[in-house]
Amino acid sequence: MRLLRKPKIINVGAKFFYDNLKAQGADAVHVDWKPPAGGDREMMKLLDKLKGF
Amino acid sequence: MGKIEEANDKAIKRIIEAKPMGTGVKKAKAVIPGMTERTILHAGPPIKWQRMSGPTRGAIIGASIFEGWADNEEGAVKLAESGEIKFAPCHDHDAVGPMAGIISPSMSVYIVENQVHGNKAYCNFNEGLGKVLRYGAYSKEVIDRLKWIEKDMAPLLAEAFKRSGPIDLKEIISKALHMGDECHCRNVATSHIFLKVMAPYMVETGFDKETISKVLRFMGTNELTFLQLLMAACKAMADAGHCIDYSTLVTALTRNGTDFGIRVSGLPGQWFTAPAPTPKTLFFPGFKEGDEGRDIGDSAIAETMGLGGFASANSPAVVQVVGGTPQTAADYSREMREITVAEHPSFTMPFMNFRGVPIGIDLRKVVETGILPFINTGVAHKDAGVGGVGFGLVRAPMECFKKALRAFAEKYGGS
Repeated sequence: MRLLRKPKIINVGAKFFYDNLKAQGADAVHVDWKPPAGGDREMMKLLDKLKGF
Repeated sequence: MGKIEEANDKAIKRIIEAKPMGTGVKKAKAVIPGMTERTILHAGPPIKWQRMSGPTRGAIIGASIFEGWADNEEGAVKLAESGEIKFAPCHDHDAVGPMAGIISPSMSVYIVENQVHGNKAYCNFNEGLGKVLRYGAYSKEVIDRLKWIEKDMAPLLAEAFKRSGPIDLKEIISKALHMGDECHCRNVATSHIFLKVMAPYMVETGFDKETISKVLRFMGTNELTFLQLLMAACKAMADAGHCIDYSTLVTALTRNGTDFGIRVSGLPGQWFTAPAPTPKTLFFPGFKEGDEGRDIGDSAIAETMGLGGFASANSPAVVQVVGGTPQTAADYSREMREITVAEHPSFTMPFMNFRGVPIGIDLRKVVETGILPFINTGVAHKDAGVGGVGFGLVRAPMECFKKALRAFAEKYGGS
């Protein structure tokens, strides 16, 4: 029965999906999230090391 | 608390408690440390003549003519190419300069002293908008205005400062933030308050009425009169937090029209640079897209101190130049909280329920979030000799922060 209810959606990351859901009348919220340092592995490693300071 | 957090706490505490006071006016060669008879200071990180932008070259040509080192453009270029002039960043000499930021030995500068920590900062005079030296123009009218500033305006202000005693610049900035200024591109309130404070002392100097009247009119009709004092005040405050071991706070955002550069508190003596971006620009009448030069000027010291783009919520009209709304303006101020460590208790924004401006850019937060410092700025023509073309908005480039993070990890053992 739950599947027949209107879903409540949390969109994480790319806002494009949220915009389309809203355009179709979906009950959605958007979380503006990006991977740390834009996914730059070198920077992520440096940031992790500095957390120990 | 870790070493970095402790260092950042110490740095931000010093920056916030700093008290910049305007104390006087003197020739650059008399007060700026390391200023020689053949030194020209420029905005932004270090750069050689060969790589300098059009407006920087234009302003150096103008300064050489103003100093009497050359009679014309050709002679000035030849002199610059000869290597006889020492070029150095204003920031490395306790100074700041808007746009091209050219300060030559005979130019008068405001002296700003941080009364809490004892450091000083210097900045030259504002010449108004359009065809002016700081935007790279060097025609006769530009040189004549610079000479008039030296002959009439600077001596009058120097004498007025002797009578007024130290002027509290932090107080002027605090008040102006409640009067619609974001204190970078909009300095209407700061300029009016400064003029109101100084006018009686200027009148009392005993200078002839015509000179006083002309200077008052010049300052009163120039809505950027206070910009240079504001920049020196911001420099004096930011420098109070510089040279703190383990601090990841950015103590200068700046540009020379070719490169964008940052300084970091825990990494003194080093510049971290990337190509300067091109601002989104609202053009003055007569100019069009394609005329604009790349981002230029030490005036982003305002953003370093949480003003300008960081205080956008205060001045929606500035954001409107590129189609923004009051909501957009508030969003910029909110966004800058994500990359800073504190809010300034003395610099507050009425439209943000009087919360303080976001201050203390942490380079780790910039790299981690990908949120880049947002800057309001003047825009110069890309070519030497033309001048200002408009106002614009721009973001600092990420590469500066990545380079700084690598250097920080290397210095403090994180890599």
